[in-house]
Amino acid sequence: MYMKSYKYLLVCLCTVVAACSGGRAPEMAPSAELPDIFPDYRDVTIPAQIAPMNFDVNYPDAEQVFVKVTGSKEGGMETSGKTAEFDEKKWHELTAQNVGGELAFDVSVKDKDGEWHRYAPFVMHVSDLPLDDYGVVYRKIAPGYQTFSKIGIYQRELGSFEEVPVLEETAVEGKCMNCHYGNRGRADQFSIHVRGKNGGTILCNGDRLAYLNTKAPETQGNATYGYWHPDGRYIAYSVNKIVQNFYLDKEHNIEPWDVFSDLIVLDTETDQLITSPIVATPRCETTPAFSPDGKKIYFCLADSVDMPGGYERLKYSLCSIDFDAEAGKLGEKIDTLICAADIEKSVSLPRPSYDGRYLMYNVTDHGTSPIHHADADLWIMDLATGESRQMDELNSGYSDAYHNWSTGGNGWFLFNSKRRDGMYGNLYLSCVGPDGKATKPFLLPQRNPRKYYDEALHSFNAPDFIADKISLDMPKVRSMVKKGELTNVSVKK
Amino acid sequence: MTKEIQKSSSKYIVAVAFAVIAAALYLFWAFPYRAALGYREEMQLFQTTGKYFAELALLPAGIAIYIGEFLTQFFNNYWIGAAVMSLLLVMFGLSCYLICRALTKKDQKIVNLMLSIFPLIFLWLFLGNQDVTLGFVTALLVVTLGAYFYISTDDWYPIAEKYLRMIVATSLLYWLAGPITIVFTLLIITYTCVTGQSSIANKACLVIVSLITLVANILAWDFTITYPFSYQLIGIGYLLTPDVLKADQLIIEALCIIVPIAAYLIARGNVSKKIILPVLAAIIVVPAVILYPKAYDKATYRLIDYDYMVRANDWDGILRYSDAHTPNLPLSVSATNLALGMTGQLDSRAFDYYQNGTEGLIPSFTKEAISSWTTGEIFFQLGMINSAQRFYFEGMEAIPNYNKSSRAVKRLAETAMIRCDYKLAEKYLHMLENTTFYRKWAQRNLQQIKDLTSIAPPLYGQLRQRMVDEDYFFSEGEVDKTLGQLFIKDPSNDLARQYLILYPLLQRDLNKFVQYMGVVAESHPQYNPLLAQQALAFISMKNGQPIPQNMVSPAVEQSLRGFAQAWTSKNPELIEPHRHTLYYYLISNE
Repeated sequence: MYMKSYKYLLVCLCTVVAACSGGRAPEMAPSAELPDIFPDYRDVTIPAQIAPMNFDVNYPDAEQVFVKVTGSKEGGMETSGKTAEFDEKKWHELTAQNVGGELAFDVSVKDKDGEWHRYAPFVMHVSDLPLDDYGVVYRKIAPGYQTFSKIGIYQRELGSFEEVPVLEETAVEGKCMNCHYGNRGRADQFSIHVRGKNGGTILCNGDRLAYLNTKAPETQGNATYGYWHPDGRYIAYSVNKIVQNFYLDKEHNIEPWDVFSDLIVLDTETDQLITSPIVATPRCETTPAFSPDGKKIYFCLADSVDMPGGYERLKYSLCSIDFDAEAGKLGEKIDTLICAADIEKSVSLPRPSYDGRYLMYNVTDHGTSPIHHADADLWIMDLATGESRQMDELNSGYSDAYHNWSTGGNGWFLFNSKRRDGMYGNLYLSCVGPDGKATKPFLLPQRNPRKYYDEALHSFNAPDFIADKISLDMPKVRSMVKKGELTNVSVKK
Repeated sequence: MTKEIQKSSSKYIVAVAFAVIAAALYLFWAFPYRAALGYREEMQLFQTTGKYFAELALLPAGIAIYIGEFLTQFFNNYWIGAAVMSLLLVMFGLSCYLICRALTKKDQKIVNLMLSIFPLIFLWLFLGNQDVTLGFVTALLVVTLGAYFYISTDDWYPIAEKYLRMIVATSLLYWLAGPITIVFTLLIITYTCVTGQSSIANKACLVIVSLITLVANILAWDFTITYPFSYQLIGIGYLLTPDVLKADQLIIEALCIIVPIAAYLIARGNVSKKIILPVLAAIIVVPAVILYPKAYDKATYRLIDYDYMVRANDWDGILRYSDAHTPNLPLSVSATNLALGMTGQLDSRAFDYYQNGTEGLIPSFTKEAISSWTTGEIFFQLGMINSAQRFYFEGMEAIPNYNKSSRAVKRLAETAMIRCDYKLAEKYLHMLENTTFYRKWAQRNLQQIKDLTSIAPPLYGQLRQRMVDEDYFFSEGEVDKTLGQLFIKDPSNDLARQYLILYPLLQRDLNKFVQYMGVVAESHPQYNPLLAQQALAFISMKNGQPIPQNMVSPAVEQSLRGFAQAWTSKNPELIEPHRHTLYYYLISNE
């Protein structure tokens, strides 16, 4: 009697397991049509180190997906289920086997009536340029205006789906956190601004963990946008007072602009600010970035205009100023690399590649906050020739901004794009190849990308690569922030 | 015979008493305090997704919060919501009763019943704080029921297993209910101390181990989660404001311990029922009567009532409410003005109610949910869709426990649809698809987005039409210019027209009023509402000119002359009847 019951139970269990695990699609000829998938990973180029490029199909009637992956060099794998979710270990084996080759994805979809449809295979190119960074770091923030709910800075391993917090707003009791600025992805050299009561700048430089008040009596405000000097001693910041105006029409939404902005350089060894009247003018100097050799600072510069009325005339040029790291001095003159008046556009966020070959930057019609401009596009300058071009191969009709290069210098870069819905910024990766062209960008893979991105109510703000996993002394940070134990900076005379 | 009847009636007295309490609580929440249910519901967006559960399950008390939020979603329907609320409260009372019974092991039903009502009353009073979540009630229920089951089954286990049982129960309860597990620990300690089954040494060991277990749980969770240590003691999710510890919370927790101890002592002391019952009745009734007005603060609940009616677009309800209770706070004034505008009465009846300047028309932004949403609703109805989107978004982000809001997300989906941001609208609609009460609405709208030919429900089409076309900044300091833009864009926008006319009057800027009347007259030459007549008559009189008879009705002229007479007399008694007039507002600077 009992044996019989167990047998029934076993049959039932097997049926359930079989139903859950899906099954292989029957052999049939593929159609000429490529599968419609989310994220659109068709024909993208990926680093071999990337996490499984799981995807979903865009067919409302789809009940099951069967995907057979075949490497152009060797190996293959299969998956079946509600979405295409690949085994992490097998995936990495397969991509490693096919570096410099291709992965062909043969997708079959079973509809509600139980009928299978097999689509023409699409490929992903496995780049022979490695992406050796541990992962990416970003701030998760709701794309709001003045009030922010739960903000956090998180690090995500590129080879897996593991995401862990670096610093969450809950840990520092209701404080707003600004972006993480690291030195070429180093896990032990970065700064994070904390705003609100007891606000300051958390500075981690090797063994030193300090909490700085970056406003000196002689400067106009706190440090805002930052970029580390390659030797790890200096950080170039802009000092900005940002205000926002709000549009009423359907096409626009928000126009942030700076009431003032100047450049400063923080000496993290002496806690002194290096300033110069040449970059602390009534004009607006902002978003600095050191050149890879540390001998100059790229930044954006605009003539001040009557705001907010003159917002369309607020256009930033791309400039540079020399920096002498040994003497800790800024240069005497400003060079203009791209003149806003010439291109009748506005430049922001210059980011040189660490090998010194390229400079990527944003171009918008006007203003200084590309994440709020749907027309924000990425441009790239070949630093050897000085030639610039719009990166049409990857720009979208929405904001494409907050880009930076991987630390390995192999042409990999990331950027934030609002191309999914115009509001929430997501993280995309691409690679500038030897021909200077960027590959088709791909959305940061997730275990279940549709579910993840549909349910996410945050933007991936100010993303950057990190070479290693960041570890922050949380009890010390909590204590410093709670007590407001700020170290004051002074201006170097 | 009489004894039998008494015995039989005493058998059911607990059930009857709790049934009566449940009925009273049901009526309380279903009628005068239904808006409080709506408030709690709009402060969350409970989603039936694994991610939603997983995020909460990783917190101490996360399961209680999850259950609390699951139950709170039913507040969307206040008939069901009131039932949920009363049921939870009564279950808490019942669990206290059961603990008393288990501890006394003596037939003192009435005493135990009355004692168990005491923490119930305090919980009901604590729920007067609109920020107390059902997560707290659930957590309380979980630990008290946990304690009851622990106590009632304790005899079954040998002493060695008791340790294991206690350690497992404490850890499990800490995960389910959070730091309120201290109630469980203290109840178990109390029980251990008062039962005479084991030796003093055993009792002491059990007490020490139970305290160590509790502390170990606190420390272990503190290591796991990224919240300050203080939150571990307060409890994450018991209140919408997670960093605030209310004394009431501690009182309820203390009562959960004190009441069973009191029951035990009374049982042991053989105190006469004739003495104890009146004393207990007094202890129950007196604090309830004294503390009720403070717990259910009238001013706060008026705002919650307004918020509820604004959300429901119950304009007539708002006006009836404002007739009964003078609106005098920014939210109530702006809600009343919106209701007047939506019913086409703003340009005639605005001064029937208290006015606090232009802030009463469109309040400035404050980092607070219900004020932001009320202002957002004003923008929405005016056709300032971007501003509505911003205020609903900001209001949602201002919810202190990081929750999202059903109300806000619904409006955000609508504003995105009006702006033709269909991809964005889909994102919000997919979120609402994962809810119980908004699923159908979301699916209907998702279908409309797919079939773009039917995407223009009358309201959305009308509001889209009202949006200004040129890129134009909204400025809080120049709201009237924006209102002018809206009116010029769509002269049939009655609300914008009424706001445009009232705005300069509230600024006491009569020149601007004349200018704006000119703008309105271009498309509405016959437009001459009561307030315009009053303002015109006032201007004429002020300038020493004759009141234009063709534009001002005899009644208005008469009312102005009456006011002028009263005002010049400087007699407060004569002035008082004119207090709610435009004239008084313009001249008094109040």
